[in-house]
Amino acid sequence: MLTPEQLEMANLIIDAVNLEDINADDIDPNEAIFTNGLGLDSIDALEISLELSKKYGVKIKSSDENINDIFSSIASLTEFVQANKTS
Amino acid sequence: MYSTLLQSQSSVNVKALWQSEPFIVGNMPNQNLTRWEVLQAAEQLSQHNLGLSNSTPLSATVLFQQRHHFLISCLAVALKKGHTILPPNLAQNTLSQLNKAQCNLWVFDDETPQGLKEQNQVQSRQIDYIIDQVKSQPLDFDEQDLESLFSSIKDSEIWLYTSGTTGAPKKIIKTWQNLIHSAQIAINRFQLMQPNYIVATVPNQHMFGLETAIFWPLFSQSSLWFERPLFPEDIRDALQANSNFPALLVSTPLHLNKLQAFDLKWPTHLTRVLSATAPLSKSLAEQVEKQMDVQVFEIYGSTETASIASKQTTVSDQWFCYQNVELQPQHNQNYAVKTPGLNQFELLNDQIELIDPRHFKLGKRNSDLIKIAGKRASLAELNHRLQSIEGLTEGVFIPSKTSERLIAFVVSDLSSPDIIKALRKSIDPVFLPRPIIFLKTLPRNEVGKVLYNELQSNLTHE
Repeated sequence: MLTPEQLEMANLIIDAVNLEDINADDIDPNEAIFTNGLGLDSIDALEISLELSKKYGVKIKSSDENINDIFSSIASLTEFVQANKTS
Repeated sequence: MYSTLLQSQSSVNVKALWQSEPFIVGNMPNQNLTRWEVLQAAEQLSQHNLGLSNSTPLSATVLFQQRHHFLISCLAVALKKGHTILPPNLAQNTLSQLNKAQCNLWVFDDETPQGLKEQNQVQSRQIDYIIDQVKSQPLDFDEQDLESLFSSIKDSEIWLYTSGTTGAPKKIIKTWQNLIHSAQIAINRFQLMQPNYIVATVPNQHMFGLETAIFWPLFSQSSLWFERPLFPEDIRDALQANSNFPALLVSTPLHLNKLQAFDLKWPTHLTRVLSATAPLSKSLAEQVEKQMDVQVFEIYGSTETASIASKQTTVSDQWFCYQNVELQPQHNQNYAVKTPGLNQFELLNDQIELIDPRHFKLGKRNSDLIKIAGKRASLAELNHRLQSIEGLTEGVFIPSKTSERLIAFVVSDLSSPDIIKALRKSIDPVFLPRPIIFLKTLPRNEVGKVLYNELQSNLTHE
């Protein structure tokens, strides 16, 4: 079950990368979103980071510590954004 | 071969260029590498890590993303008289076929990709260890050493793959000499024998990246950021790591389109952007030029020919050939091209209209090539893979008009995730469909051809 913040994140991702056939409620917040799971790639990561910077003022860099952990699931991405948002 | 290349272009001090001028720019100054350190590391790797015997020809698939790991590996393989194979994608089936075809295959990667098992493997930490050794015990050399080293590898091969018009990936063999000579005309065109700094977002394993992030810098006065940055902040940090020289950003239209959407202030020493792998619209070129305060050049080339021409998209729609590029008319606006880097004339993939011996305009594409994020595939090949999925009655891909991705129309009882999972085994992930649209039947005409226009109108009605 997704928290309201996780649901918002899931919807942001679905909109950002055109996953029209996926329902946010069906996403497991702890499932890997890249490679397996939702099957996203680096261009999607770029698209998602753009939306995150617009919506939350969060800037993401590959040199951030644990970048792979941050992008590993909806749950971890949500946690990172909630901790770092400026808007 | 090498010294004549340098002497023909400039009066640079070859020894200083290799021994002391900056080449690979790392995160910290102590991670920087000179050209000579790269060569020494390659020699060490070749001598100590790639097996004892030269009896069975070595073939190596080099999957490293970081520039210096990749370059040192390719040089080491060439010094061992082996050939480097750059696979068209990392799908499991592609790699296992490669594995079957090669009897002494080495993998240069930190992980063992699916489809490759029980190979000899070289990991980046082994190369990092060698680099530390080389830096702690610097050896002297003279120009003759460089000359003989490059003479010894000039016939070593790098295999790249392109999607042929028949759909099956086509192997393109380049020798080091071919690639060096192709680099020479590009270095000349972009005046890279003046000190400059290159940051590239494109992969080493495809021709555009192999040229711009490996061969151009190695044989010019360019220094090079060691990684392949993705996020805009990463790219800006990479650019700022070396502000001594004018910087050149090498990227793709897809990436540039995303970058300019971020509201970022770009460093002033960034003066030029090079774009290739897909057409760059004039409006995007204008936006990038304005936002980054740069000149944007598109590069024209292919895996078969390497790059041969460029244009500043905001200024002209005519391509300007590099020096010593010869275009020869064939029938129907088709042309063949010869450059110093090609052994014979190669047919261009596009029809062109020749304006004068060095200028041309592009006509229509001859094949069904799809390019996404710097990767190429043929629609015929992708359709074949889709239709080979068990449980799928029929299916076709079409390019989306609203995003860079592909859309798949299928007739099947399988679920969307099942189809994605099956496709993932045989095609590169960038070509995975977004979304998959399920139909009862595909619209076809009386001779059975799929009516693509009807599929397109299906989309607009949604």
